[in-house]
Amino acid sequence: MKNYRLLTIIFIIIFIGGGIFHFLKESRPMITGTEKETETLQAVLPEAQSFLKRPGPFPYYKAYKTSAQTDRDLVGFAFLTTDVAPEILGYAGPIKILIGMTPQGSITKVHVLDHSETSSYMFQLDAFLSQFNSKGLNDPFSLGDDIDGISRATITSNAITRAIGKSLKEAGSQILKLEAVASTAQKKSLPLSEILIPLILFAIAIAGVLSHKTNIRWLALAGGFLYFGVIKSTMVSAVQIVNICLLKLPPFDQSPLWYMLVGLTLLSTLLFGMVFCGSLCPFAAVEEFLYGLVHRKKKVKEQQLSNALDQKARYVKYAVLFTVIGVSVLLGNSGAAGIEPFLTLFTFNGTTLAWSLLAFMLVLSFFHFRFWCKYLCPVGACLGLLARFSLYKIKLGTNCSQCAACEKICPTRAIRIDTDLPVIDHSECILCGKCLTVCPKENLKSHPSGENEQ
Amino acid sequence: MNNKSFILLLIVATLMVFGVIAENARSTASPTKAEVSVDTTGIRNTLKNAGITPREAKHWKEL
Repeated sequence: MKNYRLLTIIFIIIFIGGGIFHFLKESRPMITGTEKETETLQAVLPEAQSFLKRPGPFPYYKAYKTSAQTDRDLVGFAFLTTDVAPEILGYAGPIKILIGMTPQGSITKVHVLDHSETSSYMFQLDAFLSQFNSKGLNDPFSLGDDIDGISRATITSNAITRAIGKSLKEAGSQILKLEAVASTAQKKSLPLSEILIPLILFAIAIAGVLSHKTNIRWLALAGGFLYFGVIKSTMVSAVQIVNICLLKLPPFDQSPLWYMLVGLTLLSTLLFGMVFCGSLCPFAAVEEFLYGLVHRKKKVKEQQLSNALDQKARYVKYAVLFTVIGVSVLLGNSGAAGIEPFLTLFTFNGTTLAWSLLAFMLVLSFFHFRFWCKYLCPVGACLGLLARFSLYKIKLGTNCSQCAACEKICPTRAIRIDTDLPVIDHSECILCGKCLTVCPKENLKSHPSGENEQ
Repeated sequence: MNNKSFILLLIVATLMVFGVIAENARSTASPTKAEVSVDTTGIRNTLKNAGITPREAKHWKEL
């Protein structure tokens, strides 16, 4: 059995210590180099040669160019959306956007200076931002109407559009004293489907766990694959773990799915164990499907690794988890945490290395049951540590015949015989229930937390 | 999958994962590069309007 106590202590230190470190780092005043600042300002106001910082209702820059006729001509203004509309947040906190504006109140160019959105969703950012060029005070700035969103990144697209639209209208009104037409974009109501569908899927998954029915588990896996994977392209990932650590949370009314997914995953893990990993993770569904293609009719027999090697190999995912949190905390951004192959698979975006990792994991899935989940997944590592404290656990009864049937059938090798009796590693158990159904004496049962009866 | 091939595959997979972490960290940490575009035609026209003929790129060659 792995040293879970030590792993849990390291996780708590990195998670809480990282959060405190980030908070202290963020509360320090930032010093910006003038040269870099000017360079960035010129990106949104290419004609300008000099800039003058003004305090005003919010900090902004006046941009000038010199000409043969006059000493200097005003060519525009520049300001940050985070200064004008700080309340508008993206999927993972504020998105700092620099806007260039002409003296007539239209946008010259916009440039994203800083964000914590998942990098896999931001590949089309430049094309998306170019839509704002030349937009004026009276444009609606409505996603789906005059602005096309980034595919599979609706929350981010919506936040950027609203932040730019609101900031431009505010700047036009406060700096230029122009009257802007109020935005016609209607405030969207809370998407109930993003609350109800996750609830239904988690209910199915829990029903499968409690009834130990493989068909129900597969129904939940298929639902998770379709809804979280194909339709929403969102799942519990290391990015969310890091964003919780950095307290970069999206507003609930804009992304209830984020809260439902994260909240229900944590709750179900604390109540029953690895419900999300076992019955809802879209990438696990793909892995199990591929494995089933080869092993369903026992065409290929998986060669068993030695128990010691298997146990040691599982430490790798904890190293990945700790590294991802550590690096992200040092950067103050969850961008480094977007490593999982499912992000590449379901967003269709990724670097060459990310695509290679996905292909490698998919090929390994044919031959090894849940290779990614067992040895590399940082989410599985994190939820595994939580699952140790779950209320319900599969436990051993009093009349074990020591047949080792449970050990042989466990697909994740979460059960092993130790001094003649099965020992269950709850951090590796995906709650498939196969051990419960195969036990000839029905000696394994799921019960509220407590020690084995024996 | 025997032990040796498993170790090899796990090492490759781990290196790839840490490679993706490094790649992401590099792109996050690198300063936000703002693409600066200069309206050279506009500058040239302004100079011409002022009666000045711009000389092409000799200065850069000398450097």
